[in-house]
Amino acid sequence: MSPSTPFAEEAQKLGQQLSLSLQQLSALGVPSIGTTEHETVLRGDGFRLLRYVSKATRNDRPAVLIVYALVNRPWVLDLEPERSTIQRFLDLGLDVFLIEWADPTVSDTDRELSDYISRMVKESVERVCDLRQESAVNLLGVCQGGTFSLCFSALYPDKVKNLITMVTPVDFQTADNVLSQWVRHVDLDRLVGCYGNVPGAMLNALFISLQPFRLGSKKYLDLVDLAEHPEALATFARMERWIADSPAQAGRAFAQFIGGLYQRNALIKGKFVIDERIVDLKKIKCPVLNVYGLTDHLVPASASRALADQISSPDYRELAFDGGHIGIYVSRRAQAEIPAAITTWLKARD
Amino acid sequence: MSTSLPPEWASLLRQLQETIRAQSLGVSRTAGALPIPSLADWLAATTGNPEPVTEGFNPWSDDPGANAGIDPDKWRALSRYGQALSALQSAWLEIGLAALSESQPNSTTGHPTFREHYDQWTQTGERLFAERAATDSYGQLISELINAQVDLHLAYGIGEAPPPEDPQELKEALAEARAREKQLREDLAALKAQTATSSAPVKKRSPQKPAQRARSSAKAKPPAPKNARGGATAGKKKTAPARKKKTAS
Repeated sequence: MSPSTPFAEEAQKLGQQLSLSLQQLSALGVPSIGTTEHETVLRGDGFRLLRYVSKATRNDRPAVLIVYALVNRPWVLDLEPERSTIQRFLDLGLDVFLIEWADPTVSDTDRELSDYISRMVKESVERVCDLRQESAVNLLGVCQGGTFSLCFSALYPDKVKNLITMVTPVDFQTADNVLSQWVRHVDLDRLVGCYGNVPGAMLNALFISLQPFRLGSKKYLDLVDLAEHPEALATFARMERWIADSPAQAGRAFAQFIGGLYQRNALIKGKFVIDERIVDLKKIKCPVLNVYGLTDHLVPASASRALADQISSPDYRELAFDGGHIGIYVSRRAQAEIPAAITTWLKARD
Repeated sequence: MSTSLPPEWASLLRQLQETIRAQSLGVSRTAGALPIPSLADWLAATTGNPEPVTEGFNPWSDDPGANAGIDPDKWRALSRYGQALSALQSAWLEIGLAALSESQPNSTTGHPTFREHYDQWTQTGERLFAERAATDSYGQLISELINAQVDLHLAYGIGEAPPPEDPQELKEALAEARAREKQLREDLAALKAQTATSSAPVKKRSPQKPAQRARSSAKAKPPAPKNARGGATAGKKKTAPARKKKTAS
């Protein structure tokens, strides 16, 4: 740039500040995420079950089993000590379990959604029950994991004491669901036939292109404001690491999820089949807390709120958060509000 | 207060975008940051090495010999991908131009800074993009790009061609039909069991010989189904009890 005007001078200065911030960011190295202490309490085919360490006797505390999405890693729930939904749950007195999905290998291309829901989630639920000597669990499903949790709760209602869904799509074809519009005409048979497991980077590119100006440009220029704030730069680096670390998706399960739900909206039409059984959401009668973001661009609030009319639970509550799909976990306001609200709701019913 | 855009705005913005892209790409190798996506990333995302696929290819070339020697299937796939990419780029260009012309910073100083212009540009651009992105026509552009990319990869031997029969939609329909049949069989078995149970006390009160008991059982009228699934009541759903949506407590 040639700084011929004050305007050009400012643009050039911004470019220089950005270089400085990025150099500092680079010097930080690869930051750690998901560091809250935990132990593996079950290793299964395609997953492992984690239990978080707590100073108090865990079996005296209400338990919550977190079912995360297959897309991205669950560490956005444990980004850093000051932005950790999991740590907040522990501080508030919960016994926290988490299913960590393994990356699919070439031999997992034909893995079906039934395998995730009717085997992996089920085995995890049974292990939690064994460890705590209880007959049912409190499930907390996140995004796609929330849809899995809904399916599991409908198929095995006796195994679920309370259900919490967070930013969970139920009606996949609401008018404001942009992602749904984008994948409506994708030929999934050819896609999965070509790639086998669907590359995570491909999905990431799709998610980022939902907000190209903000995610592709502005958030990087805004780094100039963080040059003097190493902690904020470290948080930025952790978020970038989490965003970039997107696992591949088992081909058949991906086709079932996108085809059955985004393309045909089978869940709310009562046509979604898992493990040779139709998922009937009306069979969900346990207490349900539905948490969603009012400005969520990936799972619009309307997609989540559709749950209200689909289940039979007499104890159904909603918690609307004025934030987006990720902010609901990592923003300071979310950290202060969401885990506390969920814990209060859970303790009143456990 | 002047809010008019300086004449060099567009070129400065373009240069800044290039700086952001170049800088963040450098960081991505050391700090795990994600590079700013471009359309070329669609190819890179799935192959890791897309260059040989399109190397030397120019689908818009006026020279009929420019792409001579390319296999017809590859040529068709390349053309399709080129057209899909071009259509999406056109849409992006329209949005980008509209964002530039509509960006008007809200400055209280009377002299909007470059940063204010930039913030307004991204805000306007995101709004215009969101409006366009939610349309079916834009969704078709994205779907077509993905489908064309798959075609391109298949044409170049990346991945395997899927079997033409038994598509996912058909599999789902079959699975649903099987599940419904299974459910009906289970309901029927439950009804039979219920019928047998409900006729048992009568037998106790009036003991009969085995042959007589069998006849009585066969004549017994089955109880009406308790749920709406299957039989004559299929499809008639009971209205769920009215529930008020409450906030969490």
